[in-house]
Parts: sequence; C-alpha cells; structure tokens
Amino acid sequence: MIQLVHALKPIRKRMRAQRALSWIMIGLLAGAIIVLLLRGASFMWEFPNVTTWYFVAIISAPLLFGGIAWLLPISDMSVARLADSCGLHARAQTALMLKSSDTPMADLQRQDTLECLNGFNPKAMLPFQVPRFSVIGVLVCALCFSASFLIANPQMQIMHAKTEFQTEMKKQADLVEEGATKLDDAQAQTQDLRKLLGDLAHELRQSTEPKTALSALDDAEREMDQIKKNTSKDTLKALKDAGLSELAQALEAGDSEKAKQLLNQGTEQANSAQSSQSTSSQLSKAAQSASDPSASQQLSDAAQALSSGNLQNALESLQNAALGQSNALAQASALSAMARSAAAQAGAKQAATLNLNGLSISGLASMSAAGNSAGSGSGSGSSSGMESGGGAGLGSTNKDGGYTASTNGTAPLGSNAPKMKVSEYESIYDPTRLGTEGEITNERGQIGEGEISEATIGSGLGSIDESVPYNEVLPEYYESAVEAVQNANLPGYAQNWVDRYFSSLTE
Amino acid sequence: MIPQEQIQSFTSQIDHIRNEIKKEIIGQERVVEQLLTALVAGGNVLLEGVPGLGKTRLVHSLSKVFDLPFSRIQFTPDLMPADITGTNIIVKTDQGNEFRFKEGPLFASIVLADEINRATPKTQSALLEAMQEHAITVAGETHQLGDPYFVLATQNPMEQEGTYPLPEAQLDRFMLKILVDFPSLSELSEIVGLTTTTQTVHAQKVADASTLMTLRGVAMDVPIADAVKNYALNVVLHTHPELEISSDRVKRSVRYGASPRAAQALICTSRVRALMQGRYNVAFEDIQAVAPACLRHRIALSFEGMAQGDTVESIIDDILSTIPRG
Repeated sequence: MIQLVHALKPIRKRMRAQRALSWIMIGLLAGAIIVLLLRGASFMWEFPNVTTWYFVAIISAPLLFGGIAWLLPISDMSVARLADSCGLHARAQTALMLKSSDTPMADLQRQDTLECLNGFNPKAMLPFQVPRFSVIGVLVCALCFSASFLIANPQMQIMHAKTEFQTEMKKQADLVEEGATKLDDAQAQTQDLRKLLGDLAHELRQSTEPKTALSALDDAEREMDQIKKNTSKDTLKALKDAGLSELAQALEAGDSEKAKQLLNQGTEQANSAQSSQSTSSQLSKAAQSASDPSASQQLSDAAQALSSGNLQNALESLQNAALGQSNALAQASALSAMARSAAAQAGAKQAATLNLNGLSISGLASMSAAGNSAGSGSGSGSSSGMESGGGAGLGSTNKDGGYTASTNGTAPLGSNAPKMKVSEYESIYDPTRLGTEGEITNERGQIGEGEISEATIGSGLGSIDESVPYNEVLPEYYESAVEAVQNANLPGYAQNWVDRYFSSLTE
Repeated sequence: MIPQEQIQSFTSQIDHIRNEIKKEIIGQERVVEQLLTALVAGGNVLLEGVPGLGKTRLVHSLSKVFDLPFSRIQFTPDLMPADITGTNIIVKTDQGNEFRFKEGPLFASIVLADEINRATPKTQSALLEAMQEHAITVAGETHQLGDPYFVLATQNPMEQEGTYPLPEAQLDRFMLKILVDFPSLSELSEIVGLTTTTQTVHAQKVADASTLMTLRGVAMDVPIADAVKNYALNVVLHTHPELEISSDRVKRSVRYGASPRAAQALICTSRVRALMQGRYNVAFEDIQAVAPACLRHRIALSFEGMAQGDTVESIIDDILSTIPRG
C-alpha cells in the first residue's frame, strides 16, 4: 500500500498543481468580475482609492482561490481515478480497492499496477490545462472594463472637484495661519484672534465640501463680531462710567464732528489748564476701568494722543474703540473674507462642474445641492458697514447728466442731449443710471421676441479722458453694489462680504 | 487460492488455444475470441450467421483443442425432445427385457445446436433445460451433465419462414450472442485454399477439461473495481425504458431491457477479457468490449423503434458512450 501511495505521489502533485491553476484562473475571473462591479459602482457612488481596490481584487482573488485549491486534500481514489483515465485501465483504482488483500491475484494486480505507475509520466500524460471559460470570461471582463473608460465617470468628476476644493481649502488654511502669525502682537485682541484663526484654519483643512467650510467661516465671523461688539460695548460703558457720556453718545451715533468738537473743547480747556487734564485723565480712567483689553488699549492710546495734543489720533482711537475695530480684527476679518471668497468660488466651480455634466443621480444631486446650499449659507453681520461708512451718500444718477427715460424712441431735447441707444440690455451695474428713473431694463422672453425696452443713456459723470476722484465715486459704487447684491438674491455671506469690502475702503 | 503461476500462464494458454484454432479457422478472430470468452466464463453462446461461415467447423475445432466430447444436433421442425435428450429404450438382457436410458446428443461437453429456431418450442425447451440446469430429466429421472458443458446454438438470420423464434426468456439463457460476419476477400481466399485441398494441418489437443476449469477459476478470481462494476450495472439499468435514468431514445425505442443475467454475463465475460488482455483487473474498456454481445439478444425494440429504423446495436453504443465512468 505504501508503495502504491508513493507511486501515486507524482500524479497527486500534478493534480494539485492543475487544480491550483484552474482555481487561480477561476479566481482571476472572480477578481475580474469584482473589478467590473467596482467600476460600475464607481459610476454610481463615490469610491475613493478605487484603483487600489481594483488591484486588491485582481490579486487577492486568484491568490485566495489558488491557496485554497493547493491546501484542500486530495483522496487516493481521486488520484487513482485520474491515473486510470490516462490509460491505466482501472489498475490504480483496483489496486487501491485490494490494498488489504493478499491473494496471489491481488499481488499480481498490485505489481502490474506499480509497473505501470513507474512508467507513468505525469507531465506528458497530464499537461496543464487552463479552463477555457475562465480565460474567455477574463477577456470579456477586461474588454468591458476598457470600454468603460470611454464613458465619462461622473463620480470621478465629483471626487476631482471635491479634491480641488479640499486643496483650495488647505491653501486657504495655510494663508489664514500665515496671516495669523503676522497680526500685531502689541494689540490686545491678537491672542484671541490667533486662536480663532487657528481654529478656523483647522476647520478649513477638515472641510470636504463648501457647506462645512462656509459654516466654519460663519462661526469664525460670528466670534469676530462678538469680539467687536464686546469691545464697542465695553468702550462706551467705560466712557460713560468715566463721565464722558456725551462723547460716548457722539461716538455711538457715529457723529465724528461732535466727538471732535468735544475733544477740542477738552483740549482748549486743557490749554487753559481747566479741563483737558480731566478729559485725558478721564480717558485714562476709562481705559483702566474697561474690562476688554482692546477697549482698554485703545482708550489708553486715545488718552495719550490727547495729552500730547494729537487730536486726530485720539479721535481715531476713540472711533475704533467705539466700533470695536482694531487693526488685528480688520486683518482677521480680511483673512476670513478672503477664505470665504475662495470657498464660495471653489463651491461654485464644483457646482458648475456637476451642473455642466447634467448629473442627476441622487448622490450627485445632493452633492450639487450641498454645493448650492452652501452658497446660500447664513451670514452673520448686518449692514453695519453701511451704517458706519456713512459716506455712502446719495450718489448721482444719469439724470444729472441729462438722462430722460424715453419709450417712444425720440430723443429729448436739452443741453446735454443724451445719445439715442436702442438695444437689448443685460442686467449690469451702470453707475450713470442710478435712481428711480432710467433703471436698468430687462428684456423679457427670448432674444428677438417679447418686449424690448428702450432707454437713452446720459453721458454720466466724468469723461473718458478724465479720472474721477476715488472719494467721489466710492459712495456711489458702495450703494450700487449693495443694491445689486440684494437684487441678485445672493446669500447672506456674499452680501456681507461685499458690504465689508466697501466699508473697509471707506475707512 | 489459485497460485500465481496459474494466473500468469492464463494469457499464454489462451493464446496457445487460439493459435491452435487458427489452424482450422481462417479469420473470424473476434468470433473465436468471444467464443473462448464464453467458454472460459462458463456460459452458452448463440451464433448468428448465414450458412457456410464455418460455425460447425469452429465448434468442432474447439472440441478438438480441448479434447472434449462434441455433438452436433441439426434442429428441424420434426425433431422431438427425446431425440436430443435421449430416451429409455427396451434392451434385451439376460434377465429379460428392461428399460435402459439411451443418452441423446445432449450428453456431450460441447454441443452444437444448429438452427435452433427451426425446432419446435418443446424441443427448444428441452435443450434450454440442459443449458440451464446442466441436467436432463427423462421419465422422472435426472441425469447430470458433466462440467464443462457448453452449448453453442446457431441461427440463420435469413429464412425465417417456418421457424420458431426463441422466446425472450430462453434467449436470456445464452451468455453471448455472436454475430458471424461474412469473411473478407483475403479470408475467403484462404478458406477456399484450405478447404478445397487435402488438408494437412489439423488442430491438436492443447488443453483439457481440467485446464478449462482452471482457466475458469482464474478468470472468476479477477478483481473488479467498484467504479467499473457500477458502470456495468448502470449499463444494464439504462436499457430499461421504465426507469427514470434511461435516455429518451431508450424510452422511445426499447420495449424491454436486459435482465440481471445480463449483468452477470457482463461481469463474467469482462473478467475473462481482462485476463486475455494481460491485465489482472477489469477495466471500463472490457465492459464496453463485451457489452454488445451480452446485450443484443436481451433488448427488444418497440414498434416505434422498429418503425424509426433504430437498431439494438446503436442503442447499446449510445448507452455505453453516455454513461459516465466512475
């Protein structure tokens, strides 16, 4: 029996190898099918690192199948059966059956079998065969996989857009952190602002979609607003407590003239050695009583400026303190605004990419909705910029330039006869056409159909060869910009950003 | 236990016998081999072929080689059972007249029953009793027939008029049905050359009854693997149209299938064949080689099968090729 088993060993080895090969091919087919399914799934859902999974599937499946095939035991009878199928004429099976028999016939049969097995060449008699169906299956899968690359994968575009967004946010986070290090260390708010900006940078790095980034920015701006409000509130309280209620009221009302007047009064009285010491000292007292470090610092600066006779600086310090403003806070706000702008742009780009591809799969829809809704996220703040920047003014309209609305196509007469212009207008901002008349007209319906309004346009302010002073056009631009963003139904954060931008220009 | 030497000498002995028969019989190697197979396996044979193919000569040569008593019975419609079994005849003795049993031609070791289908069923059954029981009963007295006992019946496939075809139950008692084909040109030339001159070469005795029994003992000791045995049994089962496992063709074309005797015949004859091939075990190929001869007289075609021109041979081939091995 031992001799027989030993004689069957080469066949068993060959059988094991053949089985492993067949199973490896089946595993390869299974892996190819899994890869194809993954590829299909990658069209439906987000699948980061899908290429890695392809490799995992195509390598691990054959290895697993091959390993199992190699390790599974093979019975002596199976080996005998295989050997007999190669021309041994049931010798091996019969010999195994007679393993415990010792009759002369059984001995002769065993001898005959061993002779035949010794002359058996497994390599020649059992050439390796690859299961045809698995080869064809793998080829078909490979073909389908290759063909799938001819179709644009919407999920890849989504992930690409997401990656781009994340990269942009990381860049913004770096800029915010860098900006935070450059804040003026001398300012009291700097420490808090650095922490705030640090947290903001961390949140930006973590954000994977515009919604999260903008939410983090909203939180940061809320905190900054709170800091500003605290400083302002504390300043006014400190001033009132120090007996400078009038000054506090003037500052609160934004009446810089009155505030200047009050300080001037104080200076004159100081010159006459009657009350300036008291204004300056009152300011110092207020600085000491102020709990907010920024308010305290600015009140102290104002006191010092006043005592050294620098009225303008004193007034500026007091105005900043009353508004809760500081250089550090302004820098922090600018950083936040910059990051918000970048987030909004990146989000808009992402949404545009999705919309462009006409993606309507639910996951994609929610993604694009998230992109869109991020655009309409809440924004803190109010029109405080407008209020504080009182220099917005009324602006001018093209009426001043002789504009008259006309619907009958005839040009009005006048010293500044407007040029006749009949056209189809887009809704664009045109500072020469502000006011209730001569508003921007919109066409209705398709181009070439529906109503078309005609309007004549005045020459407007200035001329092509001249330049208009910055101060003169800024209020007008400010008002128009705020009006435009409100009319355009932009989200709160965008409106605030525009507001802050122009308000910072007025400072 | 049969000694190894006897086992190992089987093939050489069979070859010796075969070569001896070849001296008188030209060609018909397959027939000779099958005949020897049946003889060693202890079964009876039904030979079917046109007249003049040497069937009688073959059996005669066989009896010479084994030196066994041989008798030939020409069956005719008027043949009576007593004509072949023997009968009691009145014999005058010193004591007076008495009945003495006079043995008939069945009392031989090798019996050639020529054109068995021409005899009446009664006479046929008398022969078949001898085949089956190895004994003959006459007037209530049973006379044993010796071992070995080999009956070779012949049938003419033509001239079926006025014949009594053997019933299925009796056909089943023949181990093999061998078809004798017409010789080829070269064989015919040799036959003519041999038989139209003064024959100088005759088959000689090379074995005897005990040799034959020894050969039989060796053959019956040949092992058969379970897978091979199951294959043989499945072949028999697949001939039955009433069974689920049989093919649509069998269900359609076969009226009834082979009996368990067919399975016995398959196993016994395949053992002999394995030894003849120089192997000490039965192989699938042995079953496939002996199956047609074992089964062709045991399967009856249905009317539908006959109408469609189906043949038993093709059905057997179909069964052999469709059953999986092991």
